[in-house]
Amino acid sequence: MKSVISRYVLVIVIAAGITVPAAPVAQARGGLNFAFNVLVPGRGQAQRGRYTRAAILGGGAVAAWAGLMVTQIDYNRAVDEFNAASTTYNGYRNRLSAGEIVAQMDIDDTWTEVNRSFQSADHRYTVRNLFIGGVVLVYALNFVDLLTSETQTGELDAARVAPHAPSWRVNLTPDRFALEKTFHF
Amino acid sequence: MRKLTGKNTHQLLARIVAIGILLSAWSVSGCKKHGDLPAPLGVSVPPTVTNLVVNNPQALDYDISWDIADPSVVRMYRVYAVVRGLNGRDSAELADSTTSTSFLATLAIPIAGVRFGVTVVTLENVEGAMVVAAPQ
Repeated sequence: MKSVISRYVLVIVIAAGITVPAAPVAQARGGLNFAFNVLVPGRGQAQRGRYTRAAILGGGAVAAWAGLMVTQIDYNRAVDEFNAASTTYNGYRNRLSAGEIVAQMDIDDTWTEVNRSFQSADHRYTVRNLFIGGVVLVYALNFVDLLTSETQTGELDAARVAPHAPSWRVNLTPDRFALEKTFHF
Repeated sequence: MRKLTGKNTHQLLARIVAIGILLSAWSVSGCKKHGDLPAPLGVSVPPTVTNLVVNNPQALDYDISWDIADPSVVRMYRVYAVVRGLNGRDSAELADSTTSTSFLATLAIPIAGVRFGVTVVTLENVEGAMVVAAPQ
């Protein structure tokens, strides 16, 4: 498990090192801050005012990591059970070879337990891998969003807003004063 | 502040996808998977004795005899004294082992409700199921 976490950190750092030079936007925003934002999903989005994305990515990262931890512990237990049953079953081989008498019922019961624990470990292995994929997905989405999104300034886009904004115009001529208002529907 | 151009964005996204794929494969491979199922022992199921008869000619003597379909796989027979405990479960105690198909059991003290069981131990040292019979 520790090797997996260290691999994550190493690859994320390498990925940041590879992609930062190709991302002028990210480079302009500070390498160290960007690195932190890569490691903590949602932090960069919150800094840019995109709080919904920050909540989704941050919550997703927490859920993915928590799920990974729980499923990894569960998988470890299942593997321990399988290993114990396998050791007992394989031990019968040595005992029989050494001339020790072993009951067929014990062999059958142990084989049943070996199969059950193997199926259990197999299932938990799949579920654990799903959460690994979830963690990778969250970090990948965070990475892409950090490099491609812009800061939410709160300013309205004039090109978008102008057609709907009421416009006033004062028309002043030597013989007349006119106040014009345009409505958009 | 410069914006990402179309070509620059595509190159960047391609790198990200490639890194993501490598990261996923490497991460999954980093966690060791549980081992495969162990190989079956490959031992034959021991046969059971037939026609088990227990005679009680004298108070503490029990004459036990039985048959076996295929004696070629038999290493020995194990004879057990079976009694029912307070919890209603049978408790079997090994009396002795023999290579013949008959056995004379002599109890030290009378045991009410005692029965006798016989198992087959094969040449592979696997002990089969017990056949139990009560004194006639």
